[in-house]
This record gives sequence, structure tokens and C-alpha cells, in this order.
Amino acid sequence: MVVEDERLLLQAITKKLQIKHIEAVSCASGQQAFDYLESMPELPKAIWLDYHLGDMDGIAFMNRLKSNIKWVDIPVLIVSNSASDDKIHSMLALGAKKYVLKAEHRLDEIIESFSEFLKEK
Amino acid sequence: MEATIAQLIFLALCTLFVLGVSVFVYVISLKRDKTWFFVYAAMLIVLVQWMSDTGASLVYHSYYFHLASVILFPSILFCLFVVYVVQGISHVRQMIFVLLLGTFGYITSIGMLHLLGNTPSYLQLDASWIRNHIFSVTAMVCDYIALLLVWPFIHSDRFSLHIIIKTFFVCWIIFVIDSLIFTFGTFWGNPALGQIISANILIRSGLALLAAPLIGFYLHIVQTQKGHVFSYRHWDDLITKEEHQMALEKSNETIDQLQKMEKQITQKNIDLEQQRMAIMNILEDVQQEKNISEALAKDLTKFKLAVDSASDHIVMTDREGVILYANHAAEEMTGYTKEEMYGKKAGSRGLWGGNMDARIYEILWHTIKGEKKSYNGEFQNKRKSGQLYIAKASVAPVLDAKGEVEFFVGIERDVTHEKEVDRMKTEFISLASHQLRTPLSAMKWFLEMLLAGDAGELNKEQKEYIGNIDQSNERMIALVNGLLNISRIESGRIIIDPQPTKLRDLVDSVVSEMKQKIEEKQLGIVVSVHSELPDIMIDPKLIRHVYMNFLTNAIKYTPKGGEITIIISRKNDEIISQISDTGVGIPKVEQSKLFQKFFRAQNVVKMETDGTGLGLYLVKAIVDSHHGKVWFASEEGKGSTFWFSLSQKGVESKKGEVSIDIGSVHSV
Repeated sequence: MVVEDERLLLQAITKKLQIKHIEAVSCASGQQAFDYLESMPELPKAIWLDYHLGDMDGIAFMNRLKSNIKWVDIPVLIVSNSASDDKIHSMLALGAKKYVLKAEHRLDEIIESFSEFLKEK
Repeated sequence: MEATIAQLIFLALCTLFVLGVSVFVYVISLKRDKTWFFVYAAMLIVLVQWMSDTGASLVYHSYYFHLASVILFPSILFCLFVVYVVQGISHVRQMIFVLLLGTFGYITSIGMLHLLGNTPSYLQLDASWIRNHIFSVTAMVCDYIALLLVWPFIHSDRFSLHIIIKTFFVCWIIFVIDSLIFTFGTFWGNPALGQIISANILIRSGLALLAAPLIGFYLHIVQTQKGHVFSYRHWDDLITKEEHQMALEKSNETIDQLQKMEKQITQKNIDLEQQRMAIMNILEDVQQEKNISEALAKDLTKFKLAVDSASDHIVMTDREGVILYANHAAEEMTGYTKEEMYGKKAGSRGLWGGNMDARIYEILWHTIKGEKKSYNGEFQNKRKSGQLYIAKASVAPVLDAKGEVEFFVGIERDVTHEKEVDRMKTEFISLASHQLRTPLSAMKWFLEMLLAGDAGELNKEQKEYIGNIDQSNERMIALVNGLLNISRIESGRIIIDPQPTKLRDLVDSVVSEMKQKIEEKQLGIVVSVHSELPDIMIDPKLIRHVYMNFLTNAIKYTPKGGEITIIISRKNDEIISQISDTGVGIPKVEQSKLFQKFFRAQNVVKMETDGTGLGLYLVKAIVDSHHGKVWFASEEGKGSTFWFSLSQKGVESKKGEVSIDIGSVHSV
């Protein structure tokens, strides 16, 4: 599952994942993501989460995610544009697996890390 | 009539008697003073008269004159005795006495002659007798006139020889006149007798002429040398030698005393003059002090004015914090008037304070009162209106001469607006951060996919163009990163998280990260680290960035085949890191601007277009925040060497809000 509110970025990510043969569900907002989570027959193996979502920020998302016993174990990769230490720490404390800065990394690198997640699981 | 032997003997005895009395009077006059001189002088006159009368008697064989003198003599004596007695009364009275008694004496003597029955013919009581006596009386009056004339001379202030001579000369003239009158009178009455008398007169005159100067001279000598001294003032002031000596001694004493007193007075004058000078000096000093005071007062007024109209809130309190003074800005800022503030404790709940944690106030008091140091910090205060505001405060103790706290000065500045601006900046930064990066990320990834051929194979030219776009995009991303880092650094919000760090490890990691690029340019790299480098409390992320930046620059600006050297050494309590290269160097004219924002030297801009000009600025900011120093040396065409120092003590933790983005990945 990819949760990213920037349409263009979402497009790029999903496309690249496709190329890499990774099936992804794209959500343009936090609420949409939770809707999917609730309605999806199968839970996603990992979540690619953008910190700044239109309707909620990463911390709120994580809290909500971790509040549901079903979703607790899903590894989350936080991909964001800003990195302040306390944000990072709080996210990691909340159970995010990794925190990656968008603009610093090539898409294929991030996807590489993402696939690691999937493999890890 | 012939003078018999008996008469001669009698004459001699009377002469002796007169002499004896004269001597007696003289001796007395030595002991006595004043009037006795007169007495003595008179006696001499009598002596002269006696001698002349006696002589005439002898010559003319008539002892009548002599007899008359014998009788006259005691009467004169009597007069003189009276004169002695009357000394002490006024001279005029003295004279009157003398006159009266003289007259009395004369009459008495004539009377006695008659009684004795020895009246000479010319003294017979007949018409001629009266005539004779009238002339006699006239003669006597002349005598007294002479006396009168003598008197002033004797009583003059200056009694000198010539005056004495003059006096007696005048007297002699008078005697002569007196005798002439007497003679004339007698001739008229008795020519034969007249002859005798004229002879008498001749003798008398002759003797007087001789006697006068002698008397005068004698008087002068005797009186000045032998015992009598003429005073300068008064006949009566004649004094004895002893008295004169005493007077001299006394006057000498007086002179001595006067001299002493003069000395004393001179000394006193000197003292007074000195005192005057001292007082003048003191006055000068006082004037100076006054001037200083006035200048200080003027200064004080200036400062008071300055403080009162300053734009910062300034209050002064006593050592307990009770407000003694508040300036205008304080009133404006807190909303309380000066009157409301005076007497209350600064920063208390009743005024603008008390809104923060109690511990903060405790620390404040401890710093200013306990440690007697100034305290700087931020406080959240409340205005009278209830409005909250943030103030940047500085409270300093003012110590007296003994080093004890006398009062406190508190200066506050309303930084609410600044804080607001800061907050807006932060918001902007995060907004920009997100806003700028999002399109940049999109571009980056799409370009990546294009280049990877995910949207189809590209021809050479297409690849080239897209490659260029990608490069430009990367530059933009780098620029945005740099800008954001800088604005975070400038806002002071960068977190410093000191960890015990091995600098060696940092350098190694940086070198290995750039290994590929180093090999690409075939650059030699030497790393030398002090063998006993201790762990240092610094923020590893930030310092790693410093090393990274220096190394990146070295690689970028050194042509193929060059050398890069990294040395970390220890000096006193500092650790110096050195990064040198054999690159293009920095031109001298541009060296001063090296650490400025966006600065890139002309020689490298042409050769390597990639570069934001922010790297060194950021490096300096990081090193500064670690209380270190950064410096360099460079020569164009030869190479550059950069150094930076860190204190072994490390740096204290700084709680910030953001960290700089350096592209490192955080993981669990």
C-alpha cells in the first residue's frame, strides 16, 4: 500500500513498483488508506507512507494504525521530505520500520529498501 | 672804710659758707632730679653775685654789699627750698612762688639791715632811698624776667649746649640791664656810690660773661655725663643715671620684646599666608570637586534621560527585588504605571510575572543573588490587561564596594513579535520544505524512470537532454537542501546532540563514502589521525557533514592525479583537523569572502558549475556552534588547506527543533 497525497509522486511510485513487479494499492489520503485497510480482503504486506498527508500527519496515521490489532504488524516505511529528529524518533518509536527522505534518494533505491521489507516479512 | 682783718675773716667764712651750701646743693642734685638742677643753677648765679659783691667790697673797702649778700643769701636759699618743696606742682605756680618769695626775701633782707642799724647811706629812708629802691625793685623784676626767659629754654624738648649758653647769655644781658638801671638810679641818688656800683657791675658782668658759658658748659657736661640726663620732653623729666640705665634696659627689653613680637608676627604672617594658600588650594579642590560633581550631575542627567527614554523595559530594584525605579518603556510594556510598580517585587504575581515554572525563578534568584552573576533568559509575562507576552530578560546585580549586592537592574525586551516572526519563519521553512521538495521529488523520480527506460527506450540525444534535466534538478535539490539547512542554522533551531565520538570513525566513513569519486579522479588520499585521540563530545552528524564538505570540495577542485591529505592532531586542549589538497587553490582577492553565503570563487565557477556556494557557510556555522574555529590557507594553482578546531571538552547539548538534512538514512 502506498499512501501519498501528491498525485504525481503517487503515479511515479506506483509505476515504478509495477515495473519492479510489486503490486501496490495507491491511496491519496489517510482516510482512503484506512477505508481500504478495513475493506481489503487481504492486508498489505507493507505500507509506504508519506508523512504529510492532506487529512492527517504521519503520527496520527501511525497511532491509528497501531491501535488496530489487525494492522499492528504491518511494516511501515515512512517516506517524507522533511526530517526533524523528533519526528523521526517519534515515528520510529511508534513502530515505523524506516524513515527515508524523498528528495535525497532515487526512486529505485527507495523501492529497493521497500522490497527488503517485503522480503524480511 | 678799710676792711679790718676780722671783716676779711668774716668775709672768707661767708664765702666758704656759700660755697659749702653750693656744694651741698650740688651733691643733693646728683641724687635728686629735675628741679634740683634749677636749684643748683640758681645757686651758681648767687655764687657769682656773692663773689662780685665781695670783690667790690674789698676794692672799695665797703662790706655793705657783702653784708647785703649775706642777708640776701638765706632768703634766696629759702626760696630755693620752697622751689624744691613745690616741685610736682605746675611750673607756672612754681614760678609765682619763686617770684613772691624772692620779693619777700628781698624785702626781709632790707628790713633786717635796717633793724641791724647798718643801713648804708643809699638805703636811708629818704626820698633818694625810695628812688633807689624803686630802681632796685625794677632791677629785681628784671632778674625775674630773666628767670622767665630761662624757663622755656629749660623746659624745651631739646636741651643742648648752645641753648644753655644762649640762655645764660640772655640772662647776662638782663643782669647787665638790671645793673645799669640800678647804677643809674644810685648815681642819680648818690654819685659816689654810683661809682662803686658801676664797678660792681663791671665785675659782675665780667664774671657773668665768663661764668655763663662755664656754667652752661659745666651744666652740659655735668648733667650729661655725671649723673643728670636731660630727657627730651620735660624739665621735670630729668632722671638719674640709674634710672636712665633702667630706662635703657627697659627700652632695650622693650625693643627685644618688640623684636620678638615682630618675629612672632612675621611668623604668624607666614603661617597665615600658608594657611591662606592651603585654603586657596582647598577652595580650588572644592571648586574642582564641584566641577566634577556638576559634570557628573550633567552626565547623570544624560544617562537618566537615556534610560528613561530607552525602548527596552528597564527596572531597578533593591537587593530584595523591590522596585525602586522603572522607565517609561517598562510602563508601556507591562501596562502598569510606575506608581503601581514601586514598592512591589519585580516579576511577581502581582505585576507582570509569576507565569512560569517556580524553578525558573529559583534559578534566576540563585544566579543573581547567590552567584552574583547576571542572568539571561526568556520569560513569559502577563501585561496588566491580561495579555501574555514573551520577554527576553537580562537581570544583573550591581555590587557595592564590598562586593555585596546593592541592587539589581533588570532589562527586558518584548520579543513576542520576534518570536512570532520566528514561528512564521519556521512555518515557512516547513512549508517551503514540503512545497519545494515535492515537485523536485516528482521530477527526480520521473526523470529517473525515463532514464531507466521505464517509459520506453531513449535515443542518444534524448538520453543526453534528459540527463541534463536530471543534473539541473539535482542541483536544485541540493540548493533547496542547502537553503533549508541555512535557514535552520540561522534561526538557531538546529539541534546539537553531542555523543562521545571517535573522529577517526567519522573521517573513515566520509572517505569510504567518497571512495568512488576519489578513484574516478585518480586522486591520492592520505589519512593520518593522532594515535591517542580521545572520544569527543560532539554532534557526529554535524561534524561528519563538516568533513564531508571539506572532502567533497577537495575532490571537486583538485584535477586528476592530485593529492588529498587529512590529518587530525592534538594541540593543548584542542583537536585540529586538517584537510589539504593540491587543487586549483583560491585567488587571494577572493579569499576574504570564502565563507559567505552563495560565494563561489571565479576560478572554480568556470571549471565546475556544480556548486551552491553554501557548503563552507554551513561548515562555519556548524563549527561555530561547536565553539570551534575554522581557517584556511591557499595559493592559486598550488592547492588549499583547511583547518578546523574542536575543544576536547566538546560541546554542550543544544535543544533545537530541526536538524540539518544531509541525506543520511535513519534506521532502527
